[in-house]
Amino acid sequence: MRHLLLIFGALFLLSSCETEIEDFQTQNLSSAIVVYGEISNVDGPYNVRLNYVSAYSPYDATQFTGQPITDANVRIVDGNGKETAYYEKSKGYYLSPAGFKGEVGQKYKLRIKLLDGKTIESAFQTITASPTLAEFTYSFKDAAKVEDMRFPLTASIKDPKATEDYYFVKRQDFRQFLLTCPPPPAPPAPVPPCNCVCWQAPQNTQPYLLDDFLLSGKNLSLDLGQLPYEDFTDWVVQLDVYSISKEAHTYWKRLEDQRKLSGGIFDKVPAQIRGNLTCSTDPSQEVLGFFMVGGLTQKRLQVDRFNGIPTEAYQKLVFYVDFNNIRRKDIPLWNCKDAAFIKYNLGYSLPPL
Amino acid sequence: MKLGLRVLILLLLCGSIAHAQRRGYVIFSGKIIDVENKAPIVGASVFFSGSSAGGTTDSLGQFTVTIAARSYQVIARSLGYKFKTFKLDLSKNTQTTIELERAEQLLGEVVITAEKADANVNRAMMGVEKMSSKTLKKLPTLMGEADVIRSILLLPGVSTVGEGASGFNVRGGNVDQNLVLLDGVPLFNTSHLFGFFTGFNADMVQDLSLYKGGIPSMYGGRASSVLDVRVKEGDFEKWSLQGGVGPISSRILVDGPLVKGKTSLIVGARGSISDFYMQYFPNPSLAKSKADFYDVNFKLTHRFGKNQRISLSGYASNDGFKFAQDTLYSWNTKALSFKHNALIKGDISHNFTAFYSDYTYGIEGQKSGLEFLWKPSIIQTSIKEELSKDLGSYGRLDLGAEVSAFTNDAGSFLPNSSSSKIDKFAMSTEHTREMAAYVGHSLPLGKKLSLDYGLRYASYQLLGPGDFYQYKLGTPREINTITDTLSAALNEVVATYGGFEPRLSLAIKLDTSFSIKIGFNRMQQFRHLLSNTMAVSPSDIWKNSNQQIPPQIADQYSIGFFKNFTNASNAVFETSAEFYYKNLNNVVDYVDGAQLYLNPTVETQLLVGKGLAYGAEFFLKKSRGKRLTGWISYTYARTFRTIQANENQKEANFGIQFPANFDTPHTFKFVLNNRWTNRISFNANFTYTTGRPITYPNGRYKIYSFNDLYDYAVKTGIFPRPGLDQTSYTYNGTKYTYLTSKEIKELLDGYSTASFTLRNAERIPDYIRLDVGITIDPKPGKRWQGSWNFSIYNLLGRQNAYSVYFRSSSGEINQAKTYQLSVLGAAIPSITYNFKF
Repeated sequence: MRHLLLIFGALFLLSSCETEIEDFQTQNLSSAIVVYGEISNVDGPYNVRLNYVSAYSPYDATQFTGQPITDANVRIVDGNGKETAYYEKSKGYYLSPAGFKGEVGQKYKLRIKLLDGKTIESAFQTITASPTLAEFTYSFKDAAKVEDMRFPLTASIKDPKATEDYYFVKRQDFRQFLLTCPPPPAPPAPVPPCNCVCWQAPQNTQPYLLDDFLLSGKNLSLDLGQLPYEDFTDWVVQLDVYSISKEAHTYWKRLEDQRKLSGGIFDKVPAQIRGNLTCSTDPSQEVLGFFMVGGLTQKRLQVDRFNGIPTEAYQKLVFYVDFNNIRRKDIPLWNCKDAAFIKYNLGYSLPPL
Repeated sequence: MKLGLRVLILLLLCGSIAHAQRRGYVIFSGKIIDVENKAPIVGASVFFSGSSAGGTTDSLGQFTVTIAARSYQVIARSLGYKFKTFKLDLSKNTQTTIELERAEQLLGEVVITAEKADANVNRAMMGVEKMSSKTLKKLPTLMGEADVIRSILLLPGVSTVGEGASGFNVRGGNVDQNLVLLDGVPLFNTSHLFGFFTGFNADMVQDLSLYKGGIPSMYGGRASSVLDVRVKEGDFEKWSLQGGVGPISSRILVDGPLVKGKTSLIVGARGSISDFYMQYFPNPSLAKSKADFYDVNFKLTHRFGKNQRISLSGYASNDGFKFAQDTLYSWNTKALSFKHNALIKGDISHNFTAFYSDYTYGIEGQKSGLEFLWKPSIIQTSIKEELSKDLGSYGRLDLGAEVSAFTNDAGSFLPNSSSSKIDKFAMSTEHTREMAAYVGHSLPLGKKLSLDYGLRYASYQLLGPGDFYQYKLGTPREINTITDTLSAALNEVVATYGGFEPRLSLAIKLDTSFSIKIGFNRMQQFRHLLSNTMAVSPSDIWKNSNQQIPPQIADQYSIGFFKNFTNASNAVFETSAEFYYKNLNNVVDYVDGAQLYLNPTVETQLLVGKGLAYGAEFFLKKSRGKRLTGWISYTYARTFRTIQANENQKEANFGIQFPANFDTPHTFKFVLNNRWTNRISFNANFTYTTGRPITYPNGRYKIYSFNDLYDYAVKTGIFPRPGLDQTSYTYNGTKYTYLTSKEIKELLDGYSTASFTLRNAERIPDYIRLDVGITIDPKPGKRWQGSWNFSIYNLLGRQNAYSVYFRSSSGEINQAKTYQLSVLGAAIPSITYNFKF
């Protein structure tokens, strides 16, 4: 529909327009409980978060966390009836005990007892085998201008034939950045050590959803796009590929469809999207969120943006970096870990996989 | 069925007996034609001095009146012609031809109707709106396109979901509940460019009738309304060419005699020119896009003597829409119809129609390696026989029957190139058969009462071959409640539905200018458009009724008050107040997040419920006047749906009644036509509508499934930590940057989404639009007749809300934002040149 409007905007003298409403206030605030947790065959600890729905208004980080639900009894129950209790790490944030790990072929469900006596439960789901990445590579695409140079990423999941498969993929990028060291003090003062290479991890909450409908047994492509060439530092892309149930896939697909509404005439009519959790003791208590069970494969791709680059392209980049002050020459720092002006600055090292 | 046949035979007998009993009466019949081109004039009237009898010409320009034998002063008149009066001694059955002269130079035009001034009071039916092609072209336009559906949206009781939405809603009915007939052929899609323009050429339109209530028994198949559009015939005497050039499309129409006085042909074609200039847009995506359409009509008519003719008509329309190299949407209709009309024994009109129509729609994926083709279609083949007998003072009897066969292909999903990785996914093709028979009688009951009553029986069969699923009874339908698959053989009946559809209209005339009418009609619909989007889309599929999805049935009760006023200068003011109440049974709704495409068990996604609509329509029309004509209407209308749980389905909206997407309680419409000079007229229309319903969020929540990084950072203690931030100031034009202390403390963020409340519980802002236009008619008497239309659509430039919606962006920070979308939110001027010679 956005395409339609763009074309009609052009035809009708750009007469279609989108205006942001800044004073929208939520009426009759929902009292729904939000539960989200995951379990996989990769080492834990696994977490479960419990909180209430918050008001709908423009972004305010403190408001949108939602009131946490504390002191709940959170347990994982497996197909054999074995229960594993979670502990509350912080308000509304529950962690599985050390050593607990999901097993492929085993089924699990979440059971939560709140302080007020309400019980929330999910349905049993089975951890299926971890998916296999058929390819996860990159290449370099040269161009006349640095702004147009790219590192296209290629990734695909090897889909098993004869089964109906659904996938949920998280992506986390880690970008190495370089800052400028201050000039050394005049001799004979010793030159302090300078750490100028750190990692930035821009947060990304956009999932990829795939299924093998009409493509069973084939490699399912992930459209990861292209990385820019604004510096010659490393860039790491991490994929967490889950093999999930049809129900979980449908849940995420509906969320995605609804989250991307463009207001157009072919938008689906919005509706409350319910997951696989219900309040068994009080059916009138609305429960949102999902307890997701799936086989998980995690993989990282290191994109080397220094070696193997054509000399001419590299020289253009060097000029580009200098001209655009990518290294922040105007604010030299002895330690890049202190740079608060770099969002999601992790410091010197990457989290372990 | 037996009862229906008995009633039909009884009515026929009554008619014949009544007719035979008439003594001292004669039959006066004839034809009214244009003096210049000898073309029959449809809808012309004949009146007789000192008698309440009168007649109206049919599609052949013929009329028949049974009247007491004596001398009369006869008056013949029609819209756009000078009236003619002459003396006639009627002592025996008489036939004559009356020629009328065009009255184009005269001031005084009728805005909406081709009927005589008091037709609205006299006829028994109500909820009927008629519009001539002339009126259609006088209304202000969008981008210079005279448009049928935009025009009927100016009538009371007709609404739309929003600007650019396909189709229209009548008295609480869904878009698919309108029967749109183009020269008798039903159309499954009436739009070009999704819904911005009507799918057929207004130049080809002779006139149109919209039946909102009081639907005659000859019509059936859809639950809410009928839009009957009649196409022009070619001129039998001389050739002419006309056309128009506008900013969106250009048109051409040729008509004339193939054999003078016997055979005529009319051909009209229209095509968009948007692709031509879209390639010059600087935006590369737009330049590679496609938004084109065309439509072509033709009609070949041959006369056999005075009382018989055949015609062959064709219609083809096509739309293609593509954004950049993405996906191509297309939809097209092809229809061919044959008609035979004859006047038998001077008083029986016979109309036989046979037609074939093919509506194909779908999507073509053009992404490299994933090329696909999905093209569902509906093919309809029908034959229909209609007989109409004039019973003189006993009115008119209509009889008819029709048989239709439908082939509804749900569209298999096919790879569309040798390199495509897509697997084939086969969908079924369903076959159905529909049969209907009807009888209708217009009966004047003295001077005060007139009655229109009729009965239609419609029968529907879903046929094999194919696989049809049986579901476990007592549990909501789901894919895992399938208990059996019925493999039906060719023509094996899988499901049968049918029923009587009574139609009744009664008018009580309190005086010559005031009447009260009451009416009831029932309609059935066996085919449903599945659409769970805001407005219907051209890729929405049609689904036949089956064992799980019964036919939709609409019962409408109405009462109306009609009063006409005439002032000293003979200007006529028509007023009416109509009230209706409509029950809709078996309306189709959808489970939340329904998957309607490529779903062989689509009935698991459908819910069946009830609909309710009621309203009041107040109308004031100045239908005749020297300079100023137009109308004002106010409509109060509500329409609701209730989908409750039962043993076969879950509920929607907790089983609570909710307003339909197009429920707009208050609507005010104003249409003005002011003739400044013989050639120049000014037109304006204004619309106010309550904002349509919408579902608003009652909160927002985050799913913290993307918090591994945050958890790691907190666990390792790298958050929070002391850090340095960049600050700067400018002094004497120089920017100075320095570092200050700042704690590095990242946000706990997650996947953000809205929590929604009851369906359609809120409303978008109200809709207000004013359009104006000036029409300069051609100079009379000139061979080349050029006319201009200048229009400004949405003169106020108001950014009417099409929708209010809620979106969370993803990426570094999840922001929840609220937006209002306006379509055509600016004043849009246009100029169109039309010519004829």
